[in-house]
Amino acid sequence: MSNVAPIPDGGVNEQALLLEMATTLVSQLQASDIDEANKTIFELCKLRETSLFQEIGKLTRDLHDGLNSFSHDKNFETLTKESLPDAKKRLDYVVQLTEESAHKTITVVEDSLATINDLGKRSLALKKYSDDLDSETFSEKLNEYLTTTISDAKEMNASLIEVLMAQSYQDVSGQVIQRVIKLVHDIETSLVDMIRSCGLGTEDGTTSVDTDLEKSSQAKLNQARSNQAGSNKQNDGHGFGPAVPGVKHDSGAKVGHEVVQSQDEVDDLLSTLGF
Amino acid sequence: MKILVVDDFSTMRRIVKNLLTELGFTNISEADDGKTALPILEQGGIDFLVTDWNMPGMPGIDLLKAVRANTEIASLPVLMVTAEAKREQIMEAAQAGVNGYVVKPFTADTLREKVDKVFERLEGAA
Repeated sequence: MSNVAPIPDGGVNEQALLLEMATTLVSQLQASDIDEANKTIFELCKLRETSLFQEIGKLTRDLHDGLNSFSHDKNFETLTKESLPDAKKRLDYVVQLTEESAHKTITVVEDSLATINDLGKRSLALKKYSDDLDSETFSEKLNEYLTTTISDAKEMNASLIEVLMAQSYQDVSGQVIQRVIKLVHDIETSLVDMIRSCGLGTEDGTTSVDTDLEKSSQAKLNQARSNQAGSNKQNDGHGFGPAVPGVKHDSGAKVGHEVVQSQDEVDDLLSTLGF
Repeated sequence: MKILVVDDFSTMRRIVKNLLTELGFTNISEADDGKTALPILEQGGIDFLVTDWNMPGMPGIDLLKAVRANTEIASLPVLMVTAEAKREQIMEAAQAGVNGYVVKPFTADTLREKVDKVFERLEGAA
């Protein structure tokens, strides 16, 4: 960091000054010259305060410089202005997806419970005719029973398929959450980078952030930045993830980048390509 | 008829597998990434590939291109089932020679319809 005011360096000069003042203080105390001793103690405190204020001043300036450089950092700006609000929308979408799926499943379970309970009751009634050995009525009732059961079984099959399909929320919401997790990582690395560049140093001159963490975070940050720069290239062919309502996809709304809204649009697009 | 279902989400693999079973296909294998799927395909014996796009190792689009580039398996029918919904991606898949494209979330009917269509067209071409 440039433009840093000189601070007491704990070096030879300061040490000599301190020693001189301490010797003065001891001799003043030995001579019972309390007033002069108090003055010396006051001077000593002032010396400490000055170096403390200078240290705080340096930190403040570094923080200011760091924040300034970050406000000009496009990546950081994207994080706060777009990515974070988008993350909220993404998580809201996950809540909506999981809620819809849960309701769908519960509704189907309720309907299926009613169907299966009814099947049990009808079987019990039929068994009564069978027990009574009323063969004519039994045959007629059996026929009715079979007709209803066949239709119920078909209905139950459709219901269970619906329950099966409702579980697809796990895939879609999982992909959306993975993207938010990546964003949190990006923020973490940006913050680590900010701490590093502000030089919040420890006594031995290194930053307070663990060096390994710093290195890996820097690598991740560079990675995130290059991803950002290369986002038009579909993240190396790995895709953009599920379309989230209200969230602009990474590459913006260029021609060919729009997201289809339904399977029908997919089919239309493919048919224009000769499918 | 042996089918390979490729998706990194195990829940989606189970869903697709069950739907295909409902459609009468019972011989179904699974893979969780393009990287693990390709060796299985190269071994031969797979008649139909259903794949996701967005996977950590080798994405589905690369798997599709690898299949089309390998003369042994180049004519394998491929159905893409994915959350990737950009027009350019659908066009890229079409150009790479995909046989069908289903966007997630999808319905059981949609999958049935697309699977039927893939086979109808193959029979028509044969």
